[in-house]
Amino acid sequence: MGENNNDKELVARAKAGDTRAFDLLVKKYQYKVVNLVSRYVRSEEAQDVAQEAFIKAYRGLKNFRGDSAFYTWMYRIAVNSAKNYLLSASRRQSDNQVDVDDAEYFDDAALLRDNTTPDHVLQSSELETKVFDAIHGLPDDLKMAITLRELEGMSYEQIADAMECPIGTVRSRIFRAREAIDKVIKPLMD
Amino acid sequence: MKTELSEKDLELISKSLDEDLSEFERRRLNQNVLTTEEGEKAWMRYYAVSAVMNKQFPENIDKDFSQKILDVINNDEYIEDDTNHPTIKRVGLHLKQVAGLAVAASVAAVSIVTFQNFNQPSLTGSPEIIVSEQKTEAPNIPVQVNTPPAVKPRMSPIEVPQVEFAPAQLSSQDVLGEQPFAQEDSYSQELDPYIQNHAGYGSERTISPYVDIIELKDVQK
Repeated sequence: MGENNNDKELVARAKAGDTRAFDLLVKKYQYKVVNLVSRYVRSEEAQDVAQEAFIKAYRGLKNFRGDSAFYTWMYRIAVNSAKNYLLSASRRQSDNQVDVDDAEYFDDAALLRDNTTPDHVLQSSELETKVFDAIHGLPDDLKMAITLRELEGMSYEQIADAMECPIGTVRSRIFRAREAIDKVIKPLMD
Repeated sequence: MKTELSEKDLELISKSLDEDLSEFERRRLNQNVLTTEEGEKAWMRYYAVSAVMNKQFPENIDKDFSQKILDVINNDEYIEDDTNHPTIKRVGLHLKQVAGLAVAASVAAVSIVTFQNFNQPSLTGSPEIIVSEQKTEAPNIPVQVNTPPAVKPRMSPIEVPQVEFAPAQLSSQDVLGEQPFAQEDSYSQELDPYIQNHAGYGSERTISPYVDIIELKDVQK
């Protein structure tokens, strides 16, 4: 489980103008980035700031040399975006003036403006319940394998040692656990 | 493109989460699985489960989160692509050609003017020199053109009258204005020992300016 070659390929494709490749990176890291930003700003605003951060990342992708992992770079952009947002919000508050431009804080506000309905929002509590219910319903060997991998962050080799089974079996158990959970959450997410 | 994913395809996504893909599997994932709508959705769901288990799933997230970003960056791409529009490209090419022609024309004009200026006879000379010869081409009709002997073709080399320059004569006032010779001598007295003492350190080239001054002193004497 070495360096993330798949991210490197997706970044290279995105740099070449493949927006679908960048979309895959967004889909991969969106939860982590929104969660990160929500540590700085209110959760209602976190999504907008995170979206802006991803757009900034895409536009600055030509400057990304790949010395660090994509997520490390993305992490810095997200944190800076959140801090800038806070700074801008505090300035607007101190101005104490009502400005029509306030609604247009972001350049891309028109495209990102929140017009979501409640049924279009994934409720984390509901998803969490479904996921952990599915894990509890798994056979013990699958439950142990997925728990050691996801929660303990152990490598396949370490799990194989802990469970006294070949690496291939570990790989298969982890996949079957994920597949079972996926079947439960699929109606909620699609 | 909506195709059902096989168990093998889903396993590739699972292995990708754990960075456990071989080069061949990675290529297969990117080229065959993640290029399908179902593949993209499964990829997103697998990462969502991982985020939930690691307590990294945000409170609320829009299902169209990534789609909105994609819309913005596709819009960017559209703007960038405007420069590649065939009409803009054609205009650009035309402008380039016109600019090239303009540069060539200006260079030619400058060359002609410069050439003419070089060959322009002096205004102090005879006014006949300025008159240019008109060439007539009529081979079948014998025409006798009487060219006055004083008229010379404009492009022919000009005879420049030889000028004798009188040798410059320097007077003490030319060099030092109204200052008397005494001050000049005091400079020379200071310089002479310096030159004698330091002549060995430098090449002739280095001390040559001082030699000029000595000559000047000789002239003054």
